[in-house]
Amino acid sequence: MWRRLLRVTGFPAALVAATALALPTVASVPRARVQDYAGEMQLYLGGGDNSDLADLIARAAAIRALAAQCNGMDCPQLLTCEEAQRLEADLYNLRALLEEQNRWLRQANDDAFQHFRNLSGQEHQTSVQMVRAIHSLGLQRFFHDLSKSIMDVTDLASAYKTLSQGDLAKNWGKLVENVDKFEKAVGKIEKTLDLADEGTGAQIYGQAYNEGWKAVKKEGAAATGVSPETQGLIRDGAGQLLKAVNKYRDALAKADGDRLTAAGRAFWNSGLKNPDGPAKFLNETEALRADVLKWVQKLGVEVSARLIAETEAYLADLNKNLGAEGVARGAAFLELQKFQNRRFQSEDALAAVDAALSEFAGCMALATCPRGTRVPLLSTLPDFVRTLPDGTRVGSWGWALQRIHAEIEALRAGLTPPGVKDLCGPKDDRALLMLGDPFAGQFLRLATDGTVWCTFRDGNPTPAGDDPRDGPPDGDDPRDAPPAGDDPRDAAPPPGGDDPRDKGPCDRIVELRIELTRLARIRSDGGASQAERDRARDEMHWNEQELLALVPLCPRNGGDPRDGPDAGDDPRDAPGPIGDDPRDKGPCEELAELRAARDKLLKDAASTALTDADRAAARLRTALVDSEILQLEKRCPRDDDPRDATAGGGDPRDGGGEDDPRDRPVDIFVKASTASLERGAQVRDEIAGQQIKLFPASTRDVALPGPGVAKPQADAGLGPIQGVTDRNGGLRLKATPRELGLISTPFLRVLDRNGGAAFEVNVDTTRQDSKNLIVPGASTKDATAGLSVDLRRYLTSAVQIGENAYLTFSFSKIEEEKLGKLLAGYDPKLIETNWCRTKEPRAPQSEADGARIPPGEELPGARISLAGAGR
Amino acid sequence: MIAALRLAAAAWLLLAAQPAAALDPPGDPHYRATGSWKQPYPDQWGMHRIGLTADARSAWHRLPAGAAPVIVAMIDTGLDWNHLDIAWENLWKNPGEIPDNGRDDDGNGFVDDLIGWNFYENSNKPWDHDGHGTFTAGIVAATWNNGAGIAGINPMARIMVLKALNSFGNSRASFLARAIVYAADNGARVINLSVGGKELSAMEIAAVRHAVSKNCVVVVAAGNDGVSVDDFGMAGMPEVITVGAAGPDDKRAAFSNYGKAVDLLAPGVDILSLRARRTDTLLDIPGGQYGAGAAFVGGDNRYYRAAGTSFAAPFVTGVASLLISANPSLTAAQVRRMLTSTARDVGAPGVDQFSGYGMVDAAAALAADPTRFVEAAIHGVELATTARGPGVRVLGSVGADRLAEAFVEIGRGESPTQWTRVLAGLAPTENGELGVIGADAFRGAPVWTLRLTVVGAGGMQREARFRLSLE
Repeated sequence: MWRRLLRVTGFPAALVAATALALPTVASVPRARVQDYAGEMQLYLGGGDNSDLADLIARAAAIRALAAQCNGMDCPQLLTCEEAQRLEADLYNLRALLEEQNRWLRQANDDAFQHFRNLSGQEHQTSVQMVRAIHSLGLQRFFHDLSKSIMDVTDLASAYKTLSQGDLAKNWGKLVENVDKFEKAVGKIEKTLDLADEGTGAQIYGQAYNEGWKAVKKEGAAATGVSPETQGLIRDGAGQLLKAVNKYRDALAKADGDRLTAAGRAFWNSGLKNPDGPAKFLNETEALRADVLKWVQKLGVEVSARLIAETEAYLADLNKNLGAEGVARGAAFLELQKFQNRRFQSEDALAAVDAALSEFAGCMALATCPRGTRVPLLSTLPDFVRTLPDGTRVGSWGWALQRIHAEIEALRAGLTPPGVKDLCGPKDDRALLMLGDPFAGQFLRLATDGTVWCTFRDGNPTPAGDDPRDGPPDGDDPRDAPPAGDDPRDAAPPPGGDDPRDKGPCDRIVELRIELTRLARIRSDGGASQAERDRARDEMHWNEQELLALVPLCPRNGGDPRDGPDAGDDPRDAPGPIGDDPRDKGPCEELAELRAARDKLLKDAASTALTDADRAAARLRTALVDSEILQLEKRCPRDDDPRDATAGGGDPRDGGGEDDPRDRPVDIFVKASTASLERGAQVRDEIAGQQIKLFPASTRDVALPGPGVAKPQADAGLGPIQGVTDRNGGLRLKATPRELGLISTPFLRVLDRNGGAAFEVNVDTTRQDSKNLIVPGASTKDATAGLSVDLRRYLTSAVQIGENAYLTFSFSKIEEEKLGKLLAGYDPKLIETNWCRTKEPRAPQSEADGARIPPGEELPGARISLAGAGR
Repeated sequence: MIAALRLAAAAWLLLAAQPAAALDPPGDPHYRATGSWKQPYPDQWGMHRIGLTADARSAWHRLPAGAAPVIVAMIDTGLDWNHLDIAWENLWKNPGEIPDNGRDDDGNGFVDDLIGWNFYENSNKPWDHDGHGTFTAGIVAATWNNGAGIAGINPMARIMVLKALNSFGNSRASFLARAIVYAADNGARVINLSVGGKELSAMEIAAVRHAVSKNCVVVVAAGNDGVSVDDFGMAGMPEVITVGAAGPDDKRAAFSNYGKAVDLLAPGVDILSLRARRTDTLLDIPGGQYGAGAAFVGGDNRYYRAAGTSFAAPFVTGVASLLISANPSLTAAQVRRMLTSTARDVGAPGVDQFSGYGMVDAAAALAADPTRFVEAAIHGVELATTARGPGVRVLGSVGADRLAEAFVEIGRGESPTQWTRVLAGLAPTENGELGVIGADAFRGAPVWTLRLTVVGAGGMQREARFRLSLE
């Protein structure tokens, strides 16, 4: 629409030249800007309602509520940590995406506003042009009418003079007729001047007449080409002519009664000879004719009718355009409103997601879920710079918003609150770290095979329909029975010797704090690029998570007799993140203060409009305070802790030495999750024979080697914590909390409540598959850029080998059909199965195993029939 | 001035004239011990069996002083780099990477990849949660003379740790392919793949060919399925060296895959190496009767016994790295030829599909002249019709740096005692026709053995045999 409007009819050049009036042209409208906007809108393809963001806000609010509930628990357990990590990563990515979306929406909003202004300006210009055209028309008509009337008068005056000098009797009739015409012509001049003087024109051009006359008076020759003398003559002459007309009329009236009498003739003669009489005016009027002719010529009276017609047509065009422009302007206004509303909604969504993430991070810390390892999604997005036809490179909000919207949509659906329960609540079987429910302990890493890699091992099929959960509902769940079998590791002694964790965490904390300070500087550095700031933000997030996880491992002075670094060596002896060092006071007093400080931090963070850097700092401070609280809880006797008033039993953390609960082996029961069992017989087949490993603390996040780097050997002689699930997906493992690194408060509380009993871990039996796509002659960047958003979600790696790019997609078997559809557009010859591979070991003396072939066949050979050959 | 130059020249000539400085065999307890688990052979019998002995004939004595470090990529389950028998000095250090600065300093696409990469978790810490990778790495590069444990084959090896198998030793082709490309692009000269799998992907083929184009020797385990390995995963690729497993009796282990693709045998039964902390890699082998901890060796359980072509391959990898340490200018093709042409013939005489060229022999390989070679191979037969009637066309390869003589003989049965020369004066041929044997030559027996003998000018000779069954 707007493009059509740009074809506004130009003001006729001839007219402009003729009237010498300056008129505006559309050339002053910033067209390029308007064109960019249209291109962006075509890319954007958005503008629907904001129900998606409303839904996102609702989901974020639900997660925040859940997390708040979690944060109020003594021993929260998230189901599962893997899910929590995914959710945290999704929230984190959503926050980054929303920040990015808001940035682009602001730009879109600015452009929409500019577009609206442009259209309004266009409309305004058309209006101005219209007004000026009207003025021009009025002026033209004014001067046209006036000059035409004066010309008429002068013509009549000449005619009258000729007639009156001839035979009066003979010309009498013509004289009378001429006087009538004279009267009308003069009356017309009079009327024209009256309109101009009094501004009483009720018609559309009245004002223009008025302004025209004012312009004549004000601007004089400069504007109209009419000299002041001529103007005076027009006015004075018109008056005199009127007087003359009146006199003629009187004379005629008399003469009419005494036609051609002597008296009448004398009167005429006297009148004509009277120096002040009609003759004078006739003469002057005749003299005026020369001036008027010049004036009329100058104004183009000869073509004035055509000019006026052109002007009228132009005016009609302008009027029409004005209507269309009004419509376009209205549409632009609505678009602007949409962008504004979406931006407001998106900012609300950002606040909601941010709040959910903050709350949820606290919950994860309290539930001792380890940090996730997902790659920040934002880093995979393009820079959204496009090149216009003229070569100009512009940030494309249309592209950005379309893409970011798709990314947000992809994450939104999975944004559901995870399950959480309080393990310190009333004891019942399901309140334990339950088998079948996933366990999510701090630093506990569980590995199962078959989820990402290859297929499940053969064996242990469960007959169809034989659902082990179909047993009596009164707790006789076959999963509850500890799996049989002698595990030689059950009797494994608790590990002794040096604890490899004594050195690492505290050093790492110092490194992380230094790194966070550096990253915060980058984030607030106006000289840093956006990409650098984004990277810094991503790194800060993960560093914060790592710091949060490490702080409990670097206990305070006197907190843990095992560790006890020298006072001067404790990196946390520096003032804490919230000002005064609370450790100068008693532990319970500090605990209360820290809890109050944490509440205040959360409140401030939620209520104050903070920058990204501020928010990141607030999150860090909160996390650090949380970790301090966890530490202090160990030192504050439960009797002194008002929150523990209803808790029964002693705190296992109060013990130590030989009875240290951290060294008491505990059973960890692995069971197939209820969800796995509910998926049917096939899955039940898969839950049997699952390899399960728990990674001891000494094998997790081990520092890279280097010259002089210590090589802790504390538990090097111990075996793995590993096993295979039975036909029901169950498995019992045995380990001490210390070797698992599960020495945090919630875990020990659970130990206490359960008397060191069972824990549950989940077995994810979702079968996985993988495909490779070969993209000939492409770089990995080009190859991945060409993927749809849906397909890109399955992309797990991309590598360039020679001239070709190889993309790998991993997916759950249940998504196989979906992936097949997504890959349908590619040449099937370029898609291959990403085959499974496995190590090739055997038991030490395995000669008897394996296939044998008959003696002699070790030689390569062939069978051939010579009889088949003709002789 | 001139006198000084003469002195320098004389000193150089003196040094050049001296025999290569010997590398004394290691003194590590398990290398020197026998019967630690009551077995009747040395704890590290495999080392001794391939010429890495503790006596004067040891292959190590052939390693010159100043032997060059060589980068060996172990694509496996990772490494326990805190093991007492893994020294920082035996690990590859990425020269272009500044540790832990969070940047990809060398621009190779991997951040802080100091000693390798963990493709499984996409991190720079390829820690071994399974034990398989630490075991294979120990065979190649366990620390020498540290007063404990075992010795690796090549003290000059620098292990590039590429974790492309998960914490149970499983993986997919794409992970291996990416690791192979990483190894080739980052300076590895030898790549060890103790990994099996039947089907072969285009991605792996491309990766292996990329590595070979970069002068990498790629060593692959034949697999433990007891089946023919021809056209079988990467082990079936002609570009790689495929290694089967043999026991202390030099016989191919029954589980070891066989076929024309098998190039070499190496010790692969009851092998002693390193146990990664908190692992027991045999626990998850299907169908085995293995009991947890049963393979642990030593009072501190830091060592481990196992079998499999997984552990035969590192022997060849280690010897290949020794050849390159001794002469870094060797091409991958030369290394391959030196390994195969010097292999000790075991099993059926000549190249056969159980043992390939035979048992790898470090001493012979290190003694070999890289420019000298003799090759003999019968790839197949086909029915032929000639003017004189039907016959059997023999397809194969004949090659030598200086060919003296090449001929084909036939004998009745599978183990002939008498041979009849049927084709003589063969010219060097690469996978082509060696000649046509008339049908009349095969009268009187349903099974015949063809023997191709290629003799070099120095007397060096090699033979290949082929079994022909008539219908």
